[in-house]
Amino acid sequence: MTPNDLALVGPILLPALAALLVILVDLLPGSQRSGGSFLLAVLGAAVSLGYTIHALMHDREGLAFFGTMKIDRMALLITLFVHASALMSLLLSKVYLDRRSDVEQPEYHAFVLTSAAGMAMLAGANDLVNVFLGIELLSIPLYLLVAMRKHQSRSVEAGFKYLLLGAFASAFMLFGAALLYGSSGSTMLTAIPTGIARIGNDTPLAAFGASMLLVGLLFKVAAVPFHMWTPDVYEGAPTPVTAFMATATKAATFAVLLRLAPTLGTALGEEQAANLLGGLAVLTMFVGNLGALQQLNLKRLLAYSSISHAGYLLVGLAALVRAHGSSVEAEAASSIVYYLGAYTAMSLGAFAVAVLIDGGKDREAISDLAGLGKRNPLLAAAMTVFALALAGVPPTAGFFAKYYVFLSAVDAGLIAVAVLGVLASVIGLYYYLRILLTMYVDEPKPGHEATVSRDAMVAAVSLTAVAFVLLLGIVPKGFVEAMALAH
Amino acid sequence: MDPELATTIAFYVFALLAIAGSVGVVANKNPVASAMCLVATFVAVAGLYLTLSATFLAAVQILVYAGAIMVLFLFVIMLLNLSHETFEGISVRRTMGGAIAFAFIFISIGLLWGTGPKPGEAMSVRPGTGLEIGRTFLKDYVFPFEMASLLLLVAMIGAIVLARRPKLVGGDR
Repeated sequence: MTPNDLALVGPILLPALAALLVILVDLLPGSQRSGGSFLLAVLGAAVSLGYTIHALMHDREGLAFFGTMKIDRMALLITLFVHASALMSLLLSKVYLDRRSDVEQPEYHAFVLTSAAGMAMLAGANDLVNVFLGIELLSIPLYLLVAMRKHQSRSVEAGFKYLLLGAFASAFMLFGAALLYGSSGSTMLTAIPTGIARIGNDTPLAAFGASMLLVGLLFKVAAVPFHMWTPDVYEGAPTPVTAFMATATKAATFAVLLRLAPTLGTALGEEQAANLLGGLAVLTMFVGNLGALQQLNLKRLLAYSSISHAGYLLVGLAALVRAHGSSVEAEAASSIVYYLGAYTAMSLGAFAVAVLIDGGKDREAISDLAGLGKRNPLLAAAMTVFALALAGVPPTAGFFAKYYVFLSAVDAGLIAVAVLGVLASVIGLYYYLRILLTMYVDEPKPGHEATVSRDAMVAAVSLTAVAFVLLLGIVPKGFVEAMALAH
Repeated sequence: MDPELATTIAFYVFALLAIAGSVGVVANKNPVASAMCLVATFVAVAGLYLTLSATFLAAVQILVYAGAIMVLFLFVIMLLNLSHETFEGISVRRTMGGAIAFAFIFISIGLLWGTGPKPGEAMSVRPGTGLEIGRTFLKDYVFPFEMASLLLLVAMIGAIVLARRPKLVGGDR
């Protein structure tokens, strides 16, 4: 271990240290009421974010801790999304928690930070041990955060469901990791494909291991058929936690999937792995978009929308696996990272609006948005941008995100998957437009007028998100080039 | 006796014991008996570690799992006075779940039969002694080792947060 190792994993250590500080400061006498834990947590998240940006700008990349951590451009970009999401979600929590008295705030803030540390660890993990620990370090605080409103049966039920199914998925992952180690002789992600090729491609052991690992990871990104928990958990969790879960978990888990792509290709065969992932992508896109059509609750709608976005991302992953070794591989990788950045911004923004209209009374129905266009035109405009971006309408980031992913699928020869993906997003258009119709056309039910407080914190979050969604959409080329991953 | 043969025999004895134990956990209606079967499984797995020369791991397996964790299990079972689990009958969903699980097991066995290393073959790898494990933990894997401590801390704090009564200040009601 050298100081350089520590500097490289700074984006992981900083939020972890901040979490410990939050817990320690809470123990000081008289600190309970001052709200100091919030300030400390926001500071911790902001410093982590700043450090990541600094590392990105100065190309602080390399292997750390004997190669078990690989802090490359992809890891840093994903960490950037994770820390931005953590910071935004902490700001949203301030509004959400101040209207409720049933959540223990210092612990809440500490859990958000430790989960972010786990996600950052996952983004840089280059060893199966670190992958597993990262997954657990991101999940366990999330289980707790989901169940944090412990006097609300909905929240507790969601937490319990997530914990049980998550533990099940972890068991699959662990078994898969053990089989992969057994069939390759290494736990290092970069050494596994060569290990499998050397020890023997003819045994199905590696294919078994890779598939089981895949099951655990697909559970975390809410891909069909491991998506059952998503709507209930997203609905039951406190809204800022849902925002964090939906965006940052996806980003961190896709980082691992990107790193595992060569292993998947070697263990399952590139053609089969691409077909498997492509098939799951099509299923996920359709189940997500069709499921969203019937939802009346805004959080459930966003949950199904999140499932469908996992599907679009899987299209990119299928293209990546299939195009292994060609120039399309790098194109597919950067399209996934671009998608994750765009999704983080637009989804966080949509959840910020959900936090605002909730008004401390758990108002989450889509009909509660009625009349928002008249009462708060600015917020309605922001929500319009997010809905259009999620639907994939130009010139927002959502359009280019889908465009690049589908383009790489076509380039990799997965034309059917790309065509079905476009069809699925047309279905998606319907329910995003319904949000707009409700905001601008529908008259609110008496007693259900959107009581929107003007809150600087949420305004800042949604404006930042709007800025990013539009910026990424208007000058996508520059961002894609910045994200071009050295392969 | 030829050491290779002895290892093979020991492997099969412990492996069968482990499988029988885990079947017992599921099949027993009495939770205490289930827990005792789990102890048998843990001990058998410790035996498997021994055949792989992982002496430290075997000792820890017995101390932590068969010892500490099982005591907690039994403690909870007896505290909650779970004398007999009631059997809720066979439903379509359960049958389907069971069928899928069995299909998975048999397909896996069919595919994996005869592949992979033979019993005791992993002995040629570095022996899993305390010294070797300590070196691995504090050198190559020092980072995940430290992060694991953070993970345990979070889990502990979380358990307390979820279980404690609401504080009077700022608490519910």
